[in-house]
Amino acid sequence: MRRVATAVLTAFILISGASVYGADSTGPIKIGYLAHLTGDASVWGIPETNTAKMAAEEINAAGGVLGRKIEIVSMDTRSNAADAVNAVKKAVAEQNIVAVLGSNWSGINIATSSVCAEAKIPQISSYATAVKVTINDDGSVKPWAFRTCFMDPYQGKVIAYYLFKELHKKTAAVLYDIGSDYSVGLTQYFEDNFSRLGGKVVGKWAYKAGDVDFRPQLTQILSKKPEVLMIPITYKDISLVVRQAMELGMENTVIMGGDGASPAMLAMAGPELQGSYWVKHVSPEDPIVAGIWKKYNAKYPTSGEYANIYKAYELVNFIADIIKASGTTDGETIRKAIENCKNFKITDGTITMDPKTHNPLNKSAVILQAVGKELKFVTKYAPVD
Amino acid sequence: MSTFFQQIINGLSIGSVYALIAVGYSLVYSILSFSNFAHSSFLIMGAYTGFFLISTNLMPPLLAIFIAMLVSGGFAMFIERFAYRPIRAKGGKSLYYIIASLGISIFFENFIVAAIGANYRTYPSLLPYKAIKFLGLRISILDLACAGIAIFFLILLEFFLKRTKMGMAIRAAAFDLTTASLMGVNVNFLLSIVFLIAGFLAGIAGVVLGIKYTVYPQLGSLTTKAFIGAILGGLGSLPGAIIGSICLGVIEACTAAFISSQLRDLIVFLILIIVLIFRPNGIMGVYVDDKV
Amino acid sequence: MVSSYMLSVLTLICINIVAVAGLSLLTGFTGLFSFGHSGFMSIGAYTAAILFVKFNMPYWAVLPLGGLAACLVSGIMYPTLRLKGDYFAIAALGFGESVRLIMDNGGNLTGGARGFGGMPTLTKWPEALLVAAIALVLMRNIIRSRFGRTLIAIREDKIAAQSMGINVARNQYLALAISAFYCGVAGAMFAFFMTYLQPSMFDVAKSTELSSSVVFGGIGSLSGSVIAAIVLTSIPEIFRPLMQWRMVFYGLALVLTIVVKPTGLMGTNELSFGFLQRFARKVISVGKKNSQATTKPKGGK
Repeated sequence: MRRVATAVLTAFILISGASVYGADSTGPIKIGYLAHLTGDASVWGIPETNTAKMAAEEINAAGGVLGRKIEIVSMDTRSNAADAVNAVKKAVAEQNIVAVLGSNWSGINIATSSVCAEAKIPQISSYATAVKVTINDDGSVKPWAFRTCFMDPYQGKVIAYYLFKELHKKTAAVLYDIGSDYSVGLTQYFEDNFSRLGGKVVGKWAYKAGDVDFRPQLTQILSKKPEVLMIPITYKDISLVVRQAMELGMENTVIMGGDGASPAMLAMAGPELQGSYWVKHVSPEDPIVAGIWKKYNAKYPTSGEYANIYKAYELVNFIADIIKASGTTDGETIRKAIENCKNFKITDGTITMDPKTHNPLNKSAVILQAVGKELKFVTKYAPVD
Repeated sequence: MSTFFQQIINGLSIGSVYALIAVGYSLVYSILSFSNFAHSSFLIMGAYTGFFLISTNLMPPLLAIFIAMLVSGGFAMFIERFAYRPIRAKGGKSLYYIIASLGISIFFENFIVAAIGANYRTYPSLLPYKAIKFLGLRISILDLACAGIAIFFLILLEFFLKRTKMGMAIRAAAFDLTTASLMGVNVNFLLSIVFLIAGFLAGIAGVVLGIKYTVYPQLGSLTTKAFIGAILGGLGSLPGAIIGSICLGVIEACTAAFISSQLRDLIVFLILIIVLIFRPNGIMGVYVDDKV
Repeated sequence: MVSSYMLSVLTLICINIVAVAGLSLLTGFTGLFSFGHSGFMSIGAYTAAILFVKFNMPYWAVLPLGGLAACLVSGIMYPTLRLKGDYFAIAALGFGESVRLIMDNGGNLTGGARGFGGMPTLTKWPEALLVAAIALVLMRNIIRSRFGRTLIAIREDKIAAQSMGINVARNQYLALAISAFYCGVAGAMFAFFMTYLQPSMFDVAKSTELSSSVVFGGIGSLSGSVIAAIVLTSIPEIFRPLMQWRMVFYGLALVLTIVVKPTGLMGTNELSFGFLQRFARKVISVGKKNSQATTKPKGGK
């Protein structure tokens, strides 16, 4: 027992020795950005973090916030929740961050929400779309969690309504990732809505992340001859699925999916993806979005993740503006400010927060279609009953 | 059930890739009696090297692939010389080999992520991504080419093992390393050759996987399926590795199609356990006992 | 001043200590490497969480129950023990992935990929420290018992042990069951630390981390495993800035440890005052020898 106690105490001392104690109210305003810098999801996390820093530099050059500079404290989730929780706790204890921005993964944000609640600082997700990020199981809202993007239930509805009402498709098959909360959720919301409208989901097949061969599932799907193949998955899997589906002889089937899509997939499966539809939060052709994207690519290694780049930029500016409007960095004050913002100006448009769900009201989706080597804007879409 | 034959084709296609990987792995196992988990690193090395060489357009693709194989073969020899040989010199506990190979695979995969990036890269299309229609079944041209490559190399390996002096030495060493060395076989040299071959096979497997499924650092995780295939067929047996892998591919395809795509890996795992209960040494049942 | 961050790292360290202590019995003392012990953590975590949230059982009851559940499930690995260690290692990998798949498919019971929440933060540092302490004392006693010596015999030479009449498979299985119990308890503690569970939290990376801790610390040394667990949990926190290269160094360190000093940090020694004394003496004597060499008179011409 003594040995263990000694060992534990040594570790304690090591950690405390390595700590740096946080700043006060005259130094820079520190804002934490939670993103995946290592692991599979770093393809989104790195651009988001770089953009956040870029946005901060711009704001500082224009005079900063409340006379102080803002500083982005980058927190690495290591693509897993336990590490993310530690990262946030460390930044809170050592750097006195006033808010957490990001990440784009629901599971991680749900885990870190209790840390932010305890520290009394708001957390605004970038693209975490699961319901539980802002709303508890019993329906109550999480006071310190927010997001500025739409949720999966909405996204599922958009896909179902667009397919049924605009494209007049009545049968669909779904191929989803059993281990992804995003994929599983979106599948359920799509099916609920599609069936309610009168469509039929002829079958749902699953795979596990890491799988590269989907032909067993696709063969079964094609034997049912659905009009639509709905794939609520991420872009690498999308390219492989579609390539293999074409190889198996899929024709005249509409392909549609959610915001896991990315222009990068066209480099991998361009010819096979022609004509497919994707739901996104913003369009790459929107001039403001395109402008920020260009700025990013000029400064950092080129990245195709225009949506994440836009969102990081929007969030940093949003929190900066909220702090300016509140006149303070006090947690409770800015929390209330975010909760009650109405038609608040953000980088591209305005935002009105729903105090009951901490989700933005009236966020419509954007439908894109793969044409040539790009995802082209088709329409803004808000499902109407 | 009308899709049954197509699923068999799908399974054969998946299985043939596992087989190519499993053979290299089994070769090392049959001689050193340890699982080289770094096999995935040789595979990634081949995949990335092939990708970069072909992308530069400086040479015909076949030459690029050949060089990729040489590079991964060389990498394998390097690992053997600097990681495994010292362990063997100190007694060679199987546990140590497992851990060292694990460390190498963690190091290498993360090195690629940190140094080159986690982005997915696509091989320029070397072959049409189309399928042939045959009796109502669809067989992809890419699959046929990959299966062809796999068969070619396996035949080459068979020839090497059965018809050359070096091959005979390897087979002797697989039976009993100590006695083979007493017979005058230069064990160090032999092991280098074995790893060179294993690296070759991993390299070509890497290129094939890269073409079929794009190149990314976690590509090596497919090797665990190959290991399971090798176990199913019987560790230590090369034909076993091939048969086990192909069976695994077919079982996976049929399970996903007809039983449950959600629980596929669980069911495959249960099948593995059941096979191990009734045929403890796998399908081919080669038991290389410990000599006392 | 001790921040809540440091306390939570301490809690995590204690959780890892429990898991690693259990695993060290299997890998360190019995010589079986496992790629799938995070599966046992997962079973323990979900069992404890479900019993607490849905059946309102108390915290101190669900911890051992989680461990017990993991222990019972470990039975499925028994057929692989009759064979060489490699079969076990790879089958363990399959096991870990299968557990994850079961949790993903748990529907309303486990929440599936969307997760299971609703646990309050009941694992704070005092509780974690207490459980870790009990776990270590228990494990030390197990290792020092006849059973522990039997395991070491099996690890050193399976065939010799068998010829001495030891039932190798049964003893290996007991070691596995105990290690599963420990990991299950650690998982249960983890559930009440994170307050939210997702199957992906218990993946191959986690299993590898646990098994590697045992290796670093020294195969055959309990205190070595504990020290390694402390070091490996705190290093990522101390070296956050190195971020992307962390795992690269980690893999490299693993290889170098095994190649240069296969017995790990502590070898087969346990940390004790005697050990520290001997170590200090060795350092001093080496120092003395060096200074003697330089002052040696240039004799003999």
